[in-house]
Amino acid sequence: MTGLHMSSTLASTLAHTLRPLVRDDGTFDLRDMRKHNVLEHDRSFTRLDFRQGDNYTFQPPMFQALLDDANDGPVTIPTLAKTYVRRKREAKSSGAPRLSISLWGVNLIQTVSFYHTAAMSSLSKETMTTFYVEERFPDQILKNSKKRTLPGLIWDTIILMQAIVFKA
Amino acid sequence: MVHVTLFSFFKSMVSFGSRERKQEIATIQQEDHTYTRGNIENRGPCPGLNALANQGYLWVGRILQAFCDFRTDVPPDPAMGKTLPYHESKLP
Repeated sequence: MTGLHMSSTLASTLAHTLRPLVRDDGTFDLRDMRKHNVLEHDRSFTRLDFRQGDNYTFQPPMFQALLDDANDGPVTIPTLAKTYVRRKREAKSSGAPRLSISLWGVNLIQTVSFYHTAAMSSLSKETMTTFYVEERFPDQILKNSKKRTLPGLIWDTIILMQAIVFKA
Repeated sequence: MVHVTLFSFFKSMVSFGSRERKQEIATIQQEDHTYTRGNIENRGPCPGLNALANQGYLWVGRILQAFCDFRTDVPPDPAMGKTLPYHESKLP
């Protein structure tokens, strides 16, 4: 987490979320992240739901829908709220089971996690494309030494919830 | 499903600024973080973790050992958590 300028508290908290996937020797494989309803869950912005057969491959049309929610960018918390509400509606209409309370929290936090990690007021289409399509952190994020903190992530999540309830 | 205990949470806050942690951070900063796209077969659904692996930042095993008190009898393995492209790039 050093490269992303995270505080010790935030890095620790995020690392702890991986414990259910960790082997006895303290390692895990990224493939293990595919286990459904551990950390991976339905309603992803860029991946299909579990019952659709492939819950890990990036889906370009879903990414485009994410950008469309933001009128092709920039992406902000209100546009993320719009995407969150859309994905929730899509899941409900397709008969997907409800998320558990813990995964509901994970879903909310994950919705703003890249926004918080980027530490920018908004995310340009280029930044979004670099992250989601290339799966690479752009240099402007890695070189931005602003400290990413757990309270900051929680605050962004609260702003997201407010946007979901009142605006989206 | 988040498993954060109060003890381990505060322990991590105390230990993060230790000399060992600072040395580990310096080591990570000096490493090669050239972007290498990994094979989807070895990747998960999280673009953030995939990106960390693609850029050689994924030392998750060591982070967990440091923070979660996992197997403290086993010394951290410097190769732990590295991606296959990383290891391949180090081959002669």
